[in-house]
Amino acid sequence: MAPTYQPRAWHLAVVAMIVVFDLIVLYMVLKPNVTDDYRTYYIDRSASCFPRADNVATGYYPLGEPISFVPDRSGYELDTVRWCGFMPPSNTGIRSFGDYGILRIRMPLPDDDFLLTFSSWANTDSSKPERDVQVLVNDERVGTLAFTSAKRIDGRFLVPQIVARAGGKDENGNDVVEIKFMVPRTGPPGTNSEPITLQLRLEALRLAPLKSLTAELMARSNPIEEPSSSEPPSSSTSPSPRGSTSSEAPAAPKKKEAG
Amino acid sequence: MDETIAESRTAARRWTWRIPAYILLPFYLMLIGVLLRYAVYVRNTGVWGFNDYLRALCVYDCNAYERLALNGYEGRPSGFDKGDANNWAFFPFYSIMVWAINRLTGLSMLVGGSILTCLLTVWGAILSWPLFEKKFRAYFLFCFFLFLGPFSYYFSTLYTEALFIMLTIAGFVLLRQRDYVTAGVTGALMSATRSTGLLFAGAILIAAFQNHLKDGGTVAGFFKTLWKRTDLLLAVALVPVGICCFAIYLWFHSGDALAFVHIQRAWGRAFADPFNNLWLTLKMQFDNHNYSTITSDLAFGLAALFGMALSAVMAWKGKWDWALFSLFGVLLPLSTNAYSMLRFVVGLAPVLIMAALLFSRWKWLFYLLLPALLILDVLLLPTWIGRSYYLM
Repeated sequence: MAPTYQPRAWHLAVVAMIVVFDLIVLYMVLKPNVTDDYRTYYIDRSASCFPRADNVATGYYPLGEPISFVPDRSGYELDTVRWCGFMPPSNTGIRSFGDYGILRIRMPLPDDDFLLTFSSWANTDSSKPERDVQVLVNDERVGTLAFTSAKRIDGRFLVPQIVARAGGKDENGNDVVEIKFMVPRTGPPGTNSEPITLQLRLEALRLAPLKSLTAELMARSNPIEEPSSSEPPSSSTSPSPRGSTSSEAPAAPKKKEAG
Repeated sequence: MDETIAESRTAARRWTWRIPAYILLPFYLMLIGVLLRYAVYVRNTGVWGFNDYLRALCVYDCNAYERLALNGYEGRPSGFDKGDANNWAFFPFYSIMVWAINRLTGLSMLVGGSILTCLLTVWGAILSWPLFEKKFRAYFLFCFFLFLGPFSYYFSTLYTEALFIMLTIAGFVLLRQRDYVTAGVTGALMSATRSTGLLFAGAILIAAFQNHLKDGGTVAGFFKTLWKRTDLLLAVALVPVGICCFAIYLWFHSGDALAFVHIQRAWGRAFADPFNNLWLTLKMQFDNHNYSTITSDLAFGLAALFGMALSAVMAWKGKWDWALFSLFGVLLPLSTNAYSMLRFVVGLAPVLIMAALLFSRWKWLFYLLLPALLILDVLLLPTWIGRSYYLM
């Protein structure tokens, strides 16, 4: 004999309540209340990194000072400018992941053009095709690094004042300068759907106003007048559109001597 | 009076005062397992502290569940090297239970959680007895695997496997008893424990269909009377309630009701074709010309195949509710990546029960498996404590 079933009103009443509950959840699913950086990284997946929080990556940077991303080297060491797409500092510097890495500096800028210098490597070698890394400041391209081997490339790019100021100001009136390194994709996505990209490694970086650099050079050319200067000699301050290749020691200056 | 009958009545009376073997067995095996692994730990490390032993066992997700019980859900993601991880991926029900134990007893999250996990596993094992249809050898093998097998770590430290297996078993026993509404409540708790708990909604419908046929109904009759089955409607509606509660919480906490899905990007998980993922995982080490070892990728792929093969056995045995629950329980995580497939397969109660039923059919295999499982349990302890990807 076929089984018979008896409908129950209380079942339907509870189901009706659950349906209302589910509709509320559906609304929440369809209407996320999130920041743009969250949406682009986690929901759309159009961004390749999720920025660090503003209270951690404050952007503070003593203008003109070299920033060291390697322990025991001289330079500004607080990890405040690493904003998005770079892993934490290690013994060899900071490594990019995803399509780009961004360093963000927040400070009042003087009326001057700037020189951006840094030492960089990429996980490539001479058997692979040339890998170009675009360097952008406030989304304006200032130069390209062409990696044809595993050797270091010292980046040296002029940043015009108008570009440096194009990032606008934050709530405290500081100028915001975003230095972005766009790396090429080198392989198709794996099982995690993330594309394989070139990995850029930075050991040191410096953004300095040209006027102060000129003064620094003049001071170096006359050591009697400025005997206390301990900055290492710079090979050149003339900016070039492409980075120069070197296989020598990292460009980050050695630790300052005591006294 | 017939002496035989009189004796059996006395025996029956005596029996009522005894605790049945199927209840005692999991307790004994659990105690033996805990003591054995502790002894191996002391032998290997020279450290006698039981708390140290529990701390050593607590690796990977265990720490996440412990922190979740201690501090709740975190704010803006900042974990891992990419700074994009936090604990939103971890479902709340298990950690709520650990937190409640801590509040009630004053035990630390680690100790209370470890005890809770062991007892949940024992409870799950006891509840599973009806599913073995009096095949004690299979039941013994199942319990032995849980407490003295190579994956016993999941069932003795702060992982959700114990709770999920217990709830799954309870759910399938309730379906067997045709108590669909209570099974639906169990399903709600399952979906608050792990996302795969949602799959239990499908199992309810299939079980109801099969029970209808077993009760003398027809296929057409089932669909004709479906509109009267308010119990089924309620049961299915209840299952997502757990995950929905979590989604609502996350919406208020993070602004994203699906944050538990989206945060998986930090673990390299994204939805894709599970069979392609399986293929990539299986061939990865051979593409790299590694023919001498079994990499964790290959192990994960083999685990997924094992889970799918046993799902096919369940279907062949007519247990379609178990089969589809298990098959999709493998395919759902596999569709995001093959990582941790060993753990996901071991976390599926029907797979373990069917494997126990299958492998205990032959006495020689049964007796061969017991020492093999035991040796693996002992040998893998340092591997587990050493945070091996294999077992993760």
